[in-house]
Amino acid sequence: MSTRHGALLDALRGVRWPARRAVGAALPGAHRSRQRGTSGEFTEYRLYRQGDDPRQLDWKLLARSDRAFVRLTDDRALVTTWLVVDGSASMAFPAPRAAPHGAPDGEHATKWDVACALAVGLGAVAHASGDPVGALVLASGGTRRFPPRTRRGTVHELTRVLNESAPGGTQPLAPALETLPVNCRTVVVSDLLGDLDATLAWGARTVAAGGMVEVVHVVAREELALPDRASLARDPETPSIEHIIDRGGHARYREAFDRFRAEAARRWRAAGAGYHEVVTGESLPRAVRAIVAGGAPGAGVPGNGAPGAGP
Amino acid sequence: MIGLLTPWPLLVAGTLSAVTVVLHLLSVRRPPVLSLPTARFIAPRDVRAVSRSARPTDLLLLLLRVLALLLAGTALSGPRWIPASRPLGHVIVADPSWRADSARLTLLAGVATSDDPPVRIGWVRGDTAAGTGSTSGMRGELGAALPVAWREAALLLAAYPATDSIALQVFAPSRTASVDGWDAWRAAWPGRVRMHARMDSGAAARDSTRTIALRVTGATGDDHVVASLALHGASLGVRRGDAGTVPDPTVRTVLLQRGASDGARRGADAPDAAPRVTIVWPVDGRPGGWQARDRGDTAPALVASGRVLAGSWGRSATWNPRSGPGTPIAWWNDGTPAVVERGDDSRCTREVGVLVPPGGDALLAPSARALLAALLAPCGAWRGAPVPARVLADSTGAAVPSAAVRAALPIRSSVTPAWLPAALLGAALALLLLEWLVRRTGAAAADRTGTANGAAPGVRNAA
Repeated sequence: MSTRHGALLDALRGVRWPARRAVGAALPGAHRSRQRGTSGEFTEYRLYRQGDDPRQLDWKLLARSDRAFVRLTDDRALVTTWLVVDGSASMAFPAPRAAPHGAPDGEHATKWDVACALAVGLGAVAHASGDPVGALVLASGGTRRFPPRTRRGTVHELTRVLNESAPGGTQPLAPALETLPVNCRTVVVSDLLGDLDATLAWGARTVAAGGMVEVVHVVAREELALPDRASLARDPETPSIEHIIDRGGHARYREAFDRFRAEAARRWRAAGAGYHEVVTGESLPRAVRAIVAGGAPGAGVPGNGAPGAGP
Repeated sequence: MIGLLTPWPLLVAGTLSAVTVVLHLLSVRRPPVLSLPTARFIAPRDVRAVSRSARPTDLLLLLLRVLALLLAGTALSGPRWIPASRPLGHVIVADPSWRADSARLTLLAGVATSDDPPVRIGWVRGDTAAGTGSTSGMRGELGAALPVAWREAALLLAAYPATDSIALQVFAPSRTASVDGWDAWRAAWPGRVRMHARMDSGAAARDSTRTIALRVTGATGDDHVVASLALHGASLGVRRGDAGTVPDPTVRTVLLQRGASDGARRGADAPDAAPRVTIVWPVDGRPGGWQARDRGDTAPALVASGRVLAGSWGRSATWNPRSGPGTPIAWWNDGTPAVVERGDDSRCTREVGVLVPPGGDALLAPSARALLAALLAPCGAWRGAPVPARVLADSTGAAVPSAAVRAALPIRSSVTPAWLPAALLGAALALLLLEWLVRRTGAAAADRTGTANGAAPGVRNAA
């Protein structure tokens, strides 16, 4: 196992990631299933109706109450977790320092470093629950697909796939997302600076079809606090976008960026997806716990780029 | 090495180069590029960032620009090639009295007559008929040598353009009437002047006579010239009579001939007369050899011994310079000679063309003493003074650079070699073209920034 994520995985030992909603028919697993069966944990009695299996009758209750009741239990099912990691050129911000893969929680970690760490952490949590974990990495070398697996070395293989990838290119997320099955849990780790509208549309369809979507919005600290000196800011994915920025324009820039993040959070939540914002430099174990718990610390609060804030 | 005819275009180019260096230190530059994925949220606005750096940026561009400016300035300054050797030209200005001694002149000058080094000798032209006794040329004014020096220097540079500097030597006569012109013009020659002067016999300077023994011939009893001498003679040390048989250096014998012109002149050659000064003053005012005037006239003034003698002076003849060499020692108010001295410093004859009408009292006035003093003075006394020692000692300074001569005179000098200015201008244009190319290349490279991006080739499954 890579030492880069060793501390993170140790910190996430024992963390479970329950599904947001009851899953559909699937193999038995740890998540609440929409199906109600006779095996598993007793949940309630129901009056016997014509057509019920007589073997499900509770004879003791019948003897006591002289009424026929059927024992009902909840089924548990697996949920396949797909981790979609955005490796476009904008994820390589800020410029990587000495090593191409820096410490993900380091001071100069790039968004890609943080995205990889979050993907590994979430994948490890999902794998620990017995769920199949797969990945889709859109990086400079194209799209790499890691089929869902439950075997023992899955997290290690996932780490290897991510280490072999490097951010670059301008691949849209939506076409790759369309290739994923609907009845699964899809985690999109991205900075949402690409085809946001198309991705939102996919997310709304997937949620409507019964799937689960979690969006982890990775924001760099350096995107929230620009340097004071005058610079010619250029979009690495769209070089035609370049503007002069100096201290006098910081307020307007921050206002526009905060507005974008707030709008993205609103739209994803309105689509039925879970939205979590993670700023580089934050504690990654805390961020993963917040995601699996259903809310990132300070996530979804525009303008709060300080790590550790929130519930 | 390359020399310049007019350095001011190069000075202008140097100033522009300095301004260019300063501009490279203070240039307004594009701000540094920041790769920012959220650049789309920046509101478009103009920001000017003037940066100052301790070192000039774009050193290659700066070097190209400065070189182009300096080459263009050099091309417009009239460059010429100066050979490594620094030839020295010699200009010698001499008084005609040195003609008879030209070998000694060459020896004193220390130059050969060949063209290496180039030498030009200019003779200060005086009155050709006057010869050595004339007070024209350097004998009249020592400064007459300097215009001749300028002329000869210009001719030398025209004949030998490679001459780097010019050394001037002046061979002066033994005596000169005035050095005022020399003092006035000396500063115009920006270099050393080496002076040589002929030996002065010094007869006039060494004259120690205290008494003038005056003999008069051809005078009548009421001769007013004799009367004037009797009146003023005492103050002049005049005594009538011969000098005596024993030669006395303190006595100067003066013979005054008042007879008719022909007779008076023949009288000067009389074997029994041994005067050192013979005054030929005919009664009719026409010394032998003088041209008689058609009509006699009067002059209101006579100049002698630096004094002006006003009066009604008659004149019936004009001195003819062609009659022989002579030195005027008194002049009419219109500048024509009234008294001419012939001879040398030891023995001379003074011909007086002044007509004193009978009964006239001009010679009786106190101012007439100046005329008598001039007539009775030792021979050569009025040919000027020896060249002052301060003038002879004026040998300080260095040889005059040819550029100074060219700047002062309209000497046609060509730019050598002729292709050099065109070559320098061509090199300057080539550097400007190269600067344009470098600037374009640098701007294009500055725009190629950002990470190396490639399109996703397709989906690839992990192993």
